[in-house]
Amino acid sequence: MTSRRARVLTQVALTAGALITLFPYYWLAVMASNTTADIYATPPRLTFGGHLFANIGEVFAKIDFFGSLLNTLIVAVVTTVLVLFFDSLAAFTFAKYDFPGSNVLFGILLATFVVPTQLSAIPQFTLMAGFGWVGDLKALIIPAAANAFGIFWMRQYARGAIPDELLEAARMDGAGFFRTYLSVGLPVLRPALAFLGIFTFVNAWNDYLWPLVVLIDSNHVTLQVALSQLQGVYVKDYSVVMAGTLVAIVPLIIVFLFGARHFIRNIAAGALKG
Amino acid sequence: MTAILPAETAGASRAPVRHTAHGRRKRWRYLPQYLAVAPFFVLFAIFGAYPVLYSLYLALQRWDGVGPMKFVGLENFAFLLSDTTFWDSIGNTLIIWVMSTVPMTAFALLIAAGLNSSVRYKGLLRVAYFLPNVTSIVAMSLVFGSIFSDEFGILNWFLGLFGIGNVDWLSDPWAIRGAISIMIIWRWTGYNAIIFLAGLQALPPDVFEAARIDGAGPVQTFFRITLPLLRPVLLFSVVMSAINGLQIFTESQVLLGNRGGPGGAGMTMVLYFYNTAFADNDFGYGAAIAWGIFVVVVLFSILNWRLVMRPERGQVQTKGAGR
Amino acid sequence: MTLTRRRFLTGAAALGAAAFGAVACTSPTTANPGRITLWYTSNGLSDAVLGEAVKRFAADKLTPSQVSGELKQRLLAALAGEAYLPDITMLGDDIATYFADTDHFVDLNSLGAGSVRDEYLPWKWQAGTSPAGFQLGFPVDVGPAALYYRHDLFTQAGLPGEPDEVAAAVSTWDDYFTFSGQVQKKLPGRYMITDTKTVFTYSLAQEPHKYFDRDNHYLDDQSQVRRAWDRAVQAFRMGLTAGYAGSQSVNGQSIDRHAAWNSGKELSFVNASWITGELKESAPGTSGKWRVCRPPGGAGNQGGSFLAITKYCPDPHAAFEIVKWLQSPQNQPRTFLDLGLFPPSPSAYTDPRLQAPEPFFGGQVTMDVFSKIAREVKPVYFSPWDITISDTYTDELTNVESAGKDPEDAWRDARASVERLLRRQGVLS
Repeated sequence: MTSRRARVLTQVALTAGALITLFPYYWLAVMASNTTADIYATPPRLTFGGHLFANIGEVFAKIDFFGSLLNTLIVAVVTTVLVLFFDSLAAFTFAKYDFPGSNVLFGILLATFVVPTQLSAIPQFTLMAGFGWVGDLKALIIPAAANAFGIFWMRQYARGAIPDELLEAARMDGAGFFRTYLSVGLPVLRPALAFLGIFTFVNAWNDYLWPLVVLIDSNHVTLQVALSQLQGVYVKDYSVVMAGTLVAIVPLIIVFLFGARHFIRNIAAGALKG
Repeated sequence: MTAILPAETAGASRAPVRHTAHGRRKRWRYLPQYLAVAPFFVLFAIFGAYPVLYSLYLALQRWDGVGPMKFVGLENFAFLLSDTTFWDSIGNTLIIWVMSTVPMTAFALLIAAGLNSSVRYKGLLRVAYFLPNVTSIVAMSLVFGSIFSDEFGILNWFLGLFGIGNVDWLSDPWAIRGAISIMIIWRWTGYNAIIFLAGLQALPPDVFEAARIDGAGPVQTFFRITLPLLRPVLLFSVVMSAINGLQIFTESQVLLGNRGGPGGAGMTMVLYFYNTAFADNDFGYGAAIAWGIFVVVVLFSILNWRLVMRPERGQVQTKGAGR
Repeated sequence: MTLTRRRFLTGAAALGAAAFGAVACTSPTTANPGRITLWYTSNGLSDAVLGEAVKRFAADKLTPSQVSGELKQRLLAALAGEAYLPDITMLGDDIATYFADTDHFVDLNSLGAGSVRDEYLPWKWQAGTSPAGFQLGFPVDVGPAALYYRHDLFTQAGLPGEPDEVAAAVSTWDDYFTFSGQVQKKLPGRYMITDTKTVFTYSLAQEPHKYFDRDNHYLDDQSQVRRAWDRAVQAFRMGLTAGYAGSQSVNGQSIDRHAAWNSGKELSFVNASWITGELKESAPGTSGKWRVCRPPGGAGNQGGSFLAITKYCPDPHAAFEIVKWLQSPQNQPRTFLDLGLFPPSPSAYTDPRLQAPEPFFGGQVTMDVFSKIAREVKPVYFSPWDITISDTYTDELTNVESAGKDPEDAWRDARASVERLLRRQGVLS
């Protein structure tokens, strides 16, 4: 009897917590479906209004929503694929092979975690100008194509997840290094790839300041930059800004829900295996 | 815990390739491995190292971003040492980190424990809790602005239902830090809960069975058995939140502006850097602040490492012995 | 793997190029070679007027490019890299930041700007002129400040309600405070003044000097600053300020303030003309209830931007023709009606469209109030450090207002941090 009561209590508490967590999304949708005046009304309107489609229509009229969505998708997908490939390859190597200098290299990789990168927009722009990549999506993709966090995290996973016997067997079969990575490393690393994949995708999706600086053609920007164009200097129609925010979040939520099961199951893998 | 510590106890699982070859042949032998790890280092050398060197150079200059640079030697660093705003920003960052990490970890543990029991709609609940972590905080800034607004905010309205008077979320120094912490908690609790949940699911059930037979209650079991066993996962989460916590910036900026709100209570280290370089156009000093942050992060990491590392070694060994 | 090696080589080559400062050679210096690129902030120029300009200057291939609030960051990056620069760019009221290094830009005087100079407010024109006489900025908009107040609530409470009456009752800041005290007694729980920050900002905006003279010498006698400060503190001590929080957030919006407009809690406020759009947008329910009148203390300006032509523009004369047309007195009324950007040319004020009675202000012709103020603004030098210094003072005022800090301590702390800042920047030795 008590255990059943405990179960009900747990269920209620967990549901309440989830609702609190989801409240900001609800509020976002409420603001996006009302007029700006309703947003500032007292007491605040807590229910949906009828202006959602009018507001979204205005978003589409003001910015090139689908063009920037496409750009964002390209950046996020290509970056994710490159990161998954380069990071897993490096992680597999660091985890399973001893080669002269490997410890030193891995130490350097760890050190790059704490290096201050906050100021990089200006020198990076200078570099991109040198490459002729300013205004090009390459400027967003290439610098992000491999990262220390992903390598480090995946190496931890790979160390425990890939049995030496498998590598030995592959070697006996005459497989080279790269073949071994493809046939032994990648399949085992799949769960970790799912986590790193969504993580990278989301970061690329939400990146704002660097795309703003480097994508100089306002007709060729990413979604976050396009959204910022909705906010004027003096006049701000907040219900439209909210509608823009909402429609920009929706694709991400879909991607997330799509990959959530895989993702959530694997997110902790790096913390546990080893 | 080996996840975040390259514990060398695992050395046995390494290196199917042994050092047998000699000299030049040996070097060539490892070419595939070098090429495999090369992309990161090449990219870092181009896109990471150059900006870092540039910021080091910039820290020795006085520069408004437009005119010519003026070499000032170590002046910016001398100034940094006596800059109370910088020291305050370190304090604020650490305070906000503690104020967010402690409740976040507690909530995440409770949620994980709940999800690990026999509740319904687990999948939906997990997604709900995790969603904030994939949402851009910049996009949500106005939402939080209207939640925390002093007089007309929904949070104060809600607290009012319980007879709690208005909290000046955006004016009172401690409430400001509280508001920032709440945003961080919102964003990261689900993430950590999922990690803890995975940790719980990996625990051997026979331990709990033994505890039950010994007559331990659920609370006792949780504190005596579950928590100690979860320690590696907890430490991972704390270390990760420390890395993120020292970089707190966006939450403060979107809620309070570049100057950290009244009393500068929300002025974190990175926000101070951002304000100095990009709002005040003081790029030289901004670079010096960036290096100041670097030193703090390194010191903090060493401290963290020591706190985490020492007891951990013992545990890894006992674990190994138990297997 | 060859891909990696090739990338490494290009990377190394570019790195070398960057190190030797040869970057500009490999990439175009303007954003769209063969075209005239114009960077402007969102809602900083009217899209309708720009659209017409694109057609009108088809031969020059005018390419407007809208950048959000962070236009400056992108401009600084492009200037540092000397690449992908705009031909024409918008600059904010911190235009003096660029005065020390005008060689990135073209002196508009050399393009014949002198011939249209008289069409613009002299103080605004001067604000775009460097101390060395270099005409960097072409006027886009100005921000004359007025007192906005709730006519309906004033008259209900038996107070003077017509703009002339209110203006007479609040002609000085002291009068304003006394009047506000009376109003608040009759309408308890409501406020006449937003916060100490607005008192300080708009009081200082009326002074002929701010923090620096035109040669960038720090005015050690800060009596005008002290005057503004004392007024702000006085308003707070008299309990007249609402002290709405959140006005310092990134988007500069205060939810509390907007809500107070809707609920009638904010009875009046001094603000530059550009607030009208925000007021209409966020409190349409109060339409017809507001009026504006001459603010306490006299005429002052807050905000306003400029257009500048970079020296990288291959055809500065063509660019100047575009700028001149965009900001011509004939086009300014359109921009004003579109976005609320107040015209910098007095001749625009008599445009019939701007002389129409405004329903939101109960049929008042607010242009009459604002134009008078705009004409009376005194030229004042806005130094590159003004924004930071003002922020420092208003930060301390907020400490007084919301954290109960002693005003004298706050004043001393503010002055000390301003001087520290200026010493660090090499302005003070």
